[in-house]
Amino acid sequence: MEASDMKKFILHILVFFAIVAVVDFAAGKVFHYLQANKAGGRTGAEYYACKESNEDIIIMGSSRASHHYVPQILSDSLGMSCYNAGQDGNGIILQYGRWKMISERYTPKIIIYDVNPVFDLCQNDNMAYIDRLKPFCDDREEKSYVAGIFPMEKWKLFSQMYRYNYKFLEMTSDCAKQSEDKLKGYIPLYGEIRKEMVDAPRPEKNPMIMVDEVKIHYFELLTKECKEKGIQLVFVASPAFRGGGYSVETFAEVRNIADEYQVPFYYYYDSEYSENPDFFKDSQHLNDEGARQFSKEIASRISL
Amino acid sequence: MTFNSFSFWLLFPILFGIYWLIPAKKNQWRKVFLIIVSYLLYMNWKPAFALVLLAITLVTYAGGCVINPLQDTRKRKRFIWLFAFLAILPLLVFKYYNFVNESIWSFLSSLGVRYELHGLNWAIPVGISFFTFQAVGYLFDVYYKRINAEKSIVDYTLFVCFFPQIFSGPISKAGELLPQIKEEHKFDYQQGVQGLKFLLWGMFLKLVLADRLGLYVDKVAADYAMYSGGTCVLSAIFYSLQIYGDFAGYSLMAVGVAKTLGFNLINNFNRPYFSVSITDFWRRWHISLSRWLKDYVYIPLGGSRCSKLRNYWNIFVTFLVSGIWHGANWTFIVWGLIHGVAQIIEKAFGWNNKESKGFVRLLRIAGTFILVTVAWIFFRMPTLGDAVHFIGHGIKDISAPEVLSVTNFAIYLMAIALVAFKETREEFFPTKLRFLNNRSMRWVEYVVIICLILLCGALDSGSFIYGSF
Repeated sequence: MEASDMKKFILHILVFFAIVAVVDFAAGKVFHYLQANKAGGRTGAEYYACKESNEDIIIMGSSRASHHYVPQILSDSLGMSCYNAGQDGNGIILQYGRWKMISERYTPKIIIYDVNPVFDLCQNDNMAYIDRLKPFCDDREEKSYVAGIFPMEKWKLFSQMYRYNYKFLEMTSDCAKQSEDKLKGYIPLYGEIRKEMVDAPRPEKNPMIMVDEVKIHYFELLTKECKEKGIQLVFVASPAFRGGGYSVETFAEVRNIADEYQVPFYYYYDSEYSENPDFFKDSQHLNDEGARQFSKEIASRISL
Repeated sequence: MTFNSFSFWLLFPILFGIYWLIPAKKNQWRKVFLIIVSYLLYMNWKPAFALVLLAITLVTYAGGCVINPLQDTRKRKRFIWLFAFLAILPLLVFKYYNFVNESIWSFLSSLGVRYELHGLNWAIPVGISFFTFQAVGYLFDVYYKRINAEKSIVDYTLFVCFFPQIFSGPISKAGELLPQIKEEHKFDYQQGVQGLKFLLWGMFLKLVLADRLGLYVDKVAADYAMYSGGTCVLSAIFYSLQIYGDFAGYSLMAVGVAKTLGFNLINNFNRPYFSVSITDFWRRWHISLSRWLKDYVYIPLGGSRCSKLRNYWNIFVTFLVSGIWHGANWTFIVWGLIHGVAQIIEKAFGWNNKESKGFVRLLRIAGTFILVTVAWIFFRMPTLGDAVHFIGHGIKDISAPEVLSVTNFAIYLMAIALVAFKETREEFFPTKLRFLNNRSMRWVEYVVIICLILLCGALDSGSFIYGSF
């Protein structure tokens, strides 16, 4: 009785997981199709950045990148095509994964990397940063990059639904959005910073952070690979309102890499831009006007 | 290692296989295997704290052996207090030392006396409140002669450290679990399937309902003054659902894992948000703790077989203990007292055992839910001041709640609707919609639930709320 019960139990579990595997496979195919062919909005922009972009200049970084650099201005000033691949709430862990996909296809001429202390330097949950790479893990290189940071992912990524976990709803709604991105990845913010923030006392500087060695490692790899491919890499610390809470010392690890590989590092985090409330939407993000002014500034420095 | 971690799911089929491969006749080997697994899983978190678990096991085992043969009542009393004190000492030190120290310091400071002892910068051994209460419960059962002291150290060790329940309960009674430990288990298909069903639904409650709602709740609670009153009210309701999904989800997983190994643990929840009174709520919420408090606090204090005033006092003390058990913070104490006072009022007006039907029942369910939700605010917020301000903000600023994230909100609504449907059906229409029980429909339901977990669950989320108690 016991042995037959156990056999039946195991058999039913195997049948159950076989059904789940079929459903999982089918769902993965549908999601992949939607992502590659139908989705506009954020999903479409993400797919374009990873799989279709072919611009001369690629901008990378967090939301500060996506809100601070206007590709049209950089294109017009430098005479090169430009795409903004900045991603809200992400940093080097995501962007290095994207870089792997971009560099498999072509070699951009310039990469502007906007360094954000929180997402690019501090120790925090790196698992969150690989999330948006999971749908691209059909690519063997991409899968090994993700599994290199979190070895367990190698097993989890067998599930297609796991790859699209949470993202499938956004992707479905993005299918109703226009796929053409006229702003080339730039997301403008309109309006001005709240008066209370302008009236608030200047934030205290906290240059000391717990640096994440994993992130620094990928910064170094990105820099090294760009150098090898002859790509002009530029690190930028774009303006934060009244210099945010960090100072130039916060960026020391990236500056060291920049010095070692002779890559420029433009520090605007606490600069004259930082003092002008008309340029900001909130403490960390420039508004459209600020972004336009700042993009001109960066274009002029690169063209020198 | 928690049940929602991927590592556990890789490991569990191996544990399951080895356990059932050991012949039933070699029950002692199975027990030793479960002890080793339980300790290894516990040590996976912080190895040194396994010594605390071992110390509590040895103290209570020794206590049982010493108290059991004693005939002299005074001696029995002296020893039960000695061993009970030794058993709860680690809990007192790890969990309450800092709280007591800070409370005394702030009291003395208000009198102008500045005297401070150093705080302990230690983590609390995970699950300490649960396994301590289980072990102390055993001691008192021996003291009250409900059971004989356990002779086998192996059986007793497994009773205290059994891995499905060590991190967050349920708190088992020795009379229930020890006989199962001694029994030679034969694999039972129905029990195994039941266990997997519990596991699956527990995962859904935890990963889809609780952890997703937690994103909204955490965001609002961290900066509640920046959000509208309506958003605060919605986040309070979401927290009620989050903590239910979190804890009931964990308990179901624990019961499910135990079932697959042939053990039946107490079911900790019985649709608590359909309670018609706070008294009823505590018959349905964290049933194993309610039972522990009733057996080892409320009844020894005199229970209800005394004067009305004394009975009210007993209820008050029981819920004070419940509040303190949950955490070393005034917020938990106030939370416990709200429940205690509400029960006293219900008892005074005779509402505790009053049956209601139809619309009146629905009104009572809604009223109880509102009261429980208000009490949860004290449970959730870091200080009493924050809790009071949060409630004030919710009442004063009446406005529409903010969605924050449309995608997340769609998942919240789907998860809430699914849980509400299942529980409403079980509570009010258990004999209706029978087609949902037929075999093929059940398989469809299981596949849909696992797909929802994979697509909507917060799969990389961390611990359980009750894991920190």
